[in-house]
Amino acid sequence: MRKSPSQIILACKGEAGYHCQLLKLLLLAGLSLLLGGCKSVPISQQGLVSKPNVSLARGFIFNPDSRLLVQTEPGSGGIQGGAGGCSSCK
Amino acid sequence: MKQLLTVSFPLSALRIVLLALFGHTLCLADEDYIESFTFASIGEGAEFRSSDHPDAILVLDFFAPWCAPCVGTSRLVDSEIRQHYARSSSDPTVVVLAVNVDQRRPSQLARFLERAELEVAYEDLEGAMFESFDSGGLPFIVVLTPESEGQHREVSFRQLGMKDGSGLREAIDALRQQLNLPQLISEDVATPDFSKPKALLEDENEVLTTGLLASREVLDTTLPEYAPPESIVAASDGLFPQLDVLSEVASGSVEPETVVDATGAKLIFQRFDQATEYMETDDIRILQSDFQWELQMESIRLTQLLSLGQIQVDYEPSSKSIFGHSEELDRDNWSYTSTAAWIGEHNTASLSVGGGEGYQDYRSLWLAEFYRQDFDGDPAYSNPDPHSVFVSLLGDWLFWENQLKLTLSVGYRWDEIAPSYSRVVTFEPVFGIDTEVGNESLKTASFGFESDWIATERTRIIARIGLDDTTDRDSRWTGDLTVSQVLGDSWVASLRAIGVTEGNAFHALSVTGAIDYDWEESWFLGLSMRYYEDNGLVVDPGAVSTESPELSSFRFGGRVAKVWERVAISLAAYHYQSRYEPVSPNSWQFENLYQDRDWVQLEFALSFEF
Repeated sequence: MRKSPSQIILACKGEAGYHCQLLKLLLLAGLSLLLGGCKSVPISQQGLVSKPNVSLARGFIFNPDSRLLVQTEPGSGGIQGGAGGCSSCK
Repeated sequence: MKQLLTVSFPLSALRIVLLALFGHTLCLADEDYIESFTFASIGEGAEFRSSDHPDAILVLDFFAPWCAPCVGTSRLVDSEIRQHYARSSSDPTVVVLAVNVDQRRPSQLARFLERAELEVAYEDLEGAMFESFDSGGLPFIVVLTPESEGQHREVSFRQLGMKDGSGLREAIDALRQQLNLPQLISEDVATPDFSKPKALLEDENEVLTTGLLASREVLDTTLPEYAPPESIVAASDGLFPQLDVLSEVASGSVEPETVVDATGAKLIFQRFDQATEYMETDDIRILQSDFQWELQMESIRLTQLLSLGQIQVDYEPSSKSIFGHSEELDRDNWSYTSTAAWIGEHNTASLSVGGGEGYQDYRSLWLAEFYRQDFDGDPAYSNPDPHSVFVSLLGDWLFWENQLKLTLSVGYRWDEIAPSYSRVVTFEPVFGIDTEVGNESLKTASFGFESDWIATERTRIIARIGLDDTTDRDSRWTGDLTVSQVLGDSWVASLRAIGVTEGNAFHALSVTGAIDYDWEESWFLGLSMRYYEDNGLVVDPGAVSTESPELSSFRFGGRVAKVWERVAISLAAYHYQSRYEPVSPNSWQFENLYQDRDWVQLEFALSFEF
């Protein structure tokens, strides 16, 4: 039986298929938003989306990332979090 | 649905490509000639008709009420341009106009005018004229020539941001010279006569017949007071409200006012940030304090970050174990990161190097104590000394009128982990423990890509993809998507999802929903909920493993933040639950490490600029 493109894209094997599918759906959703919602927003109208709690700027005040949760959650590190988010595992 | 995707995806992709290729040249072309125009006055003043001042040089200072650096720039334009030329009786006159480009938030506008000390300003409805200049950001200043015979003006000078008034004055003077008019002798610039009543100054020159600041009685400021804190804020990665004009919207393009220190070096701003995070449960207390100092000198930004941590664990061996004893553990850790960034007009490049010492998490400390108690007498056992070094490169680029920022990063870090399990286990297995063999050192290469995209006037989407490759482990992919939606003027709803996959062995997912409310972007109150789950890191349930079993966690809490001009603070408190699946039968030694816990989490952050 021939598989549809969506079946191929979302094919996830193994016991963790549920998480795998969620991750891929997440990426698809992001891609769809990026491609489907493109709209020109002139600078003069960027005020609302430049609020600090929207732009998630690097400062500590509105930074949404916890630096301590990674100690409990092995999946909360990554992206230069060190040793794949776990410097003590194994 | 399938058909819809089939059609819309190629069209959207084509649109993206066309915008990328031709957006700047087709849609956002520069406007070199300006026809006669009219600006409505804010408030009850008379409107401004350019045709009423055909012989005047016009200086347009475009601002938006939400634009933090615009406050300082407008003050500066007033003090160093308007007042400067107000003292000149030579022709042509120079008319300075403060022009608002965003009319959607009247309450913010009133606050802006008050902070910028502008009593008269004008409206560029929906930013129509401003957008025609393809400015690249705010604040934006344009100098227009007097009207030609064809009743249009040329753009003589344009500038994004304003460090000081000298460049703009030079441009205006050059224009006057070009017009074969006498140069302004401006010795009074260095030592302006601020004791002189403003009303008199205004009477000296018809530049003020436009009504700009006409009712202010006395010049009550001195030069140092013109240093606008907002401009400093603006260059500081948007820590304060009204924002990120520099870092997120007009990133790098706008250089805030320069302060010249005693050594002659031009300091743009300095900022000190501090953040402390604390978590506590019955047997574990962890603390981390970050201290960051940031210095920007023109196009270079230096950042020093010191992180100090403390981990306290009430170690308790398994009740099934006949060895081991309770122990109160208290360990410190630290790391230091130094970053140098080079800031271009639409891009930034930075290099970070750093290192640290100490246990990075309570799990490794707990396990180290387990091994110490069980193997301390073993000749193969060595005291752990965890430490790490790391280096990373980052570059970001702004596209499409600052609507899209792309960031690429690569990093490498080397971790000496603790304890050195492999030596212990391979030398002589004890009590039949067949512990998984680990690594003495881990080397991790990382790659990250981030897209920060302003999708609509009310929607902002930040997407990240990361790849980490660590010694003897499968590559770890991380996808991180945050969608924020502004509701009304003060509500912000956001949803964040993070997915992690490491081959077929490990997967994790977290979802965070948050709602924020702000009062005039001064007070912020937010509530958030976060759920996390993974499938555990245990590879073989039949073997003894120090790795964590399946985990799910839930966090709920709130944050309040207050922002002043130079100082901002925030406080957050959360309740956090971590729930593990039972450890495998052969890994009973670690049942106290991986037990369910209820935590209290507190966060405090402070920012101060000077």
